[in-house]
Amino acid sequence: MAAYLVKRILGIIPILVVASLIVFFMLQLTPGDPVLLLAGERATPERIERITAEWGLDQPLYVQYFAFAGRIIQGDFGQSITRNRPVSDLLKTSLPITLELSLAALFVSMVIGVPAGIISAVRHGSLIDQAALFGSLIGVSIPAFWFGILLMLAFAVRMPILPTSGYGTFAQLILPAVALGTAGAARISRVMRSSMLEVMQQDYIRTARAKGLSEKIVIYKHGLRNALLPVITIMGLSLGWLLAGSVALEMVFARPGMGQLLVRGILMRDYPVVQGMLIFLVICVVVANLVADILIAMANPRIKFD
Amino acid sequence: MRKANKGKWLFFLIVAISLVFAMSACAPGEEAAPPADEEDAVEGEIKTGGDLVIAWDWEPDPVIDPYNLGWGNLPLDIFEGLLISDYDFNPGPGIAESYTFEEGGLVQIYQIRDDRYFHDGTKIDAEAVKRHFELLIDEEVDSMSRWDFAFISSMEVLDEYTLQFNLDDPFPAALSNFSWAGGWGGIQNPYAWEEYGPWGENTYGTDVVVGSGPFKFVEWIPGDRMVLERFDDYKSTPIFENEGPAYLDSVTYRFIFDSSTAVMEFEVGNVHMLETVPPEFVEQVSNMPGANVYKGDSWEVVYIGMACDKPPFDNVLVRRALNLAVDQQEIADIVWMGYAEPAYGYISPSFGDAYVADRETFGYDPEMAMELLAEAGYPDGFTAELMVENRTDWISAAEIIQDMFAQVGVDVEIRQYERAGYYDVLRAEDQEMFIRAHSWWGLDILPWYFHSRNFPYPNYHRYVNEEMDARFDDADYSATYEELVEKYRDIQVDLAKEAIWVPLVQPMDIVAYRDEVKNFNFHPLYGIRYNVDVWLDE
Repeated sequence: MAAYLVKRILGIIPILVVASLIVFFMLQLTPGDPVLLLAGERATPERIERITAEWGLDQPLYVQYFAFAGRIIQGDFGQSITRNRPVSDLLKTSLPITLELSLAALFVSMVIGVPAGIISAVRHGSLIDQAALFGSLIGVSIPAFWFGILLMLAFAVRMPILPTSGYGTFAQLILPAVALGTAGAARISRVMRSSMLEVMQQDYIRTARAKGLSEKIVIYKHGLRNALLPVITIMGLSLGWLLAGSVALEMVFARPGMGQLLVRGILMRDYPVVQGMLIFLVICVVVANLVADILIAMANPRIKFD
Repeated sequence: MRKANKGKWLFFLIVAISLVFAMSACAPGEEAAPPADEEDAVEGEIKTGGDLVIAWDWEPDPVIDPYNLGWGNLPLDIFEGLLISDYDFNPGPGIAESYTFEEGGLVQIYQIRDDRYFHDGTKIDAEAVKRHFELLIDEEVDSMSRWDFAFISSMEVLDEYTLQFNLDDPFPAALSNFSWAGGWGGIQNPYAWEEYGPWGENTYGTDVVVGSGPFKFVEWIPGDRMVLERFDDYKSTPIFENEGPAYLDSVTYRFIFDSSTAVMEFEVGNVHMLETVPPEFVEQVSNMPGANVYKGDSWEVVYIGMACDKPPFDNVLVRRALNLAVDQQEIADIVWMGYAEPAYGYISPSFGDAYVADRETFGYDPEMAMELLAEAGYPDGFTAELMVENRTDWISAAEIIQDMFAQVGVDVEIRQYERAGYYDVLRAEDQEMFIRAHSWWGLDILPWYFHSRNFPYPNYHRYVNEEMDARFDDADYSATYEELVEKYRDIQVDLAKEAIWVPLVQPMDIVAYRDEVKNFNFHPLYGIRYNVDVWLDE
């Protein structure tokens, strides 16, 4: 197990190097100069030159990359150009807001997705299965931000039982979490359903039934445990989707999280913010996948660590 | 039994989903419209206290610091200028109670009020104001406003509250620049700025801001809100009814970038004012119970710029033809839903006497346009690119314009850019035609865009005319403001004939406020940002 862990952790390093290269050059090579946006139209050429030099943006790209990589290794994400604050400070305030939303959405996804998947697999072909499939199709198809606006209109304006936007209280978390979690629930229920269907065809299920076990035990003890593995993998990947989905939802629900920061960072070409946040997100997704793999290994003793 | 349960469950699900959609589809416009009479607003006894919440669809970048400013937008409530413009643009007392001009305006003496303090308790005297302007025009500080106050040659403190500005040349725009508290003229505590500096724990501009306006800076949570608190030692100026301090306890600016969300927050009463109501929401907001919508002229002019040194735009006949091909009224009606006026000049009618409209050059006459194109040697038209920033309204306008140009044989390809990419193209001098807007309130906008010393940036129109340069320079050094206005009127008459732009529309300033907001006032220069007279009746 220890050797497996070390191997997996070492495997992360090349991923991060490649990701850092992509993250750095993707934005640098995109047209647009943060200094022009920041300094405004009334800035003189001298002022633009001075600010460019101040931010080190006049250096060759490879010099800027190594400076960036060097800082990241030391845990320094740089200074935001448009916020005049260290990116790490911005991360510190925005991360909990985004994480709170992502975890709540993941919870919503699981609570809806797993049972829906099980029921539609067990009642395969029935009306309820069709309804669940149709629901998941809608869930995957509708943009979370639009669903968010719809929920806000319904439950905060027309029937004011929940707050419209903002952050900080549990009530303010419900609407964005449901909006974001619905798409995830749809994905999870589809994976859960197909995985469960496959498992229920297995010989050991037939054996279990032949032994005379009750259907409940067959489904939950023998079926579910085996069918959950791909769902755990999907949940690991979901973190990436959820973080990406929170980008739009944070704009809609006026939550000053990482998504909102990232969008404004991209629009204003705030290189340190975008690069710092993307690298941070890459690390999160890579670690989440590692954790998912470890959980799978723990859930399925047949997986060998080699 | 199981089947019956299943059926019931599905029934409830369908009912629930339909309910959500039905509720969301319910148009608020169907509700009764409230009387939006501003006269009602001042009724009743003035009640102090309350937190006024204003939604902004933008956020100051990156700092609140007149010495280090990007776009020139500041929460005005924090700052006050040396002078404050009244509702008719006359400069009136601000931090200075009076001023006298000597030697034909080359010596300007300002009497600073002796009852004014900065928010940190520092007394405002001539020395502090002098230091403020020294920093503002300092080469090292390199403030954005440096050039707006470059007319100051030297300053002398005559006594504790008397400050003298010495000028090398007359500069009639001095008074209006001193009254522009929004960005350039906003006086802050120079000593606090020097003490805290731009970096570190207590960064000036993000953690600490020390002005002298009716409200003091409390905190700024990036992406979320900025909170200002009443400054109890504030002594008001004559443009306000209230002698000070402000009635409100605090003002909170919430940054809500999504218009739908802002409108919903306004509807449920979490937000008292929307600083900007997009045209597509005006009707919905107007019909909300307890909502009032203010619509007024703005300084904004949306236009199509042309690169005047590139063929075929180097031919004035082509530029005139393109002008005659565009029906501004249709664009105002369709894209801005009527909440804009067709534009027939380079500046907004808000300039009053200084505004010149040329309906002949900038009017609509497609047949004449085709004749002019033929005369210019393009009887079959030509192809060109029209650049547009990816804003919904501008893209819609571009599509309509594409159709209007096609009517006279000009085939236009629309290129969309986000703001950063758009600037890059302009800087790379790759533009042909491009949609832009300006909302500057000073006549210096004309040389700013059309003087050859600003070629190729910000003279994106690549207009070079030495005679016009000389006239701009001559106008800027007029002895009086009246003379300056007269000269700029003449300049505009001739500039219009050059048809450098296709002026499109003058969008309105649209602000929404709830019934709770009493004494609502919209200042033509400062907008809704001085809330000295406003109070909340909740």
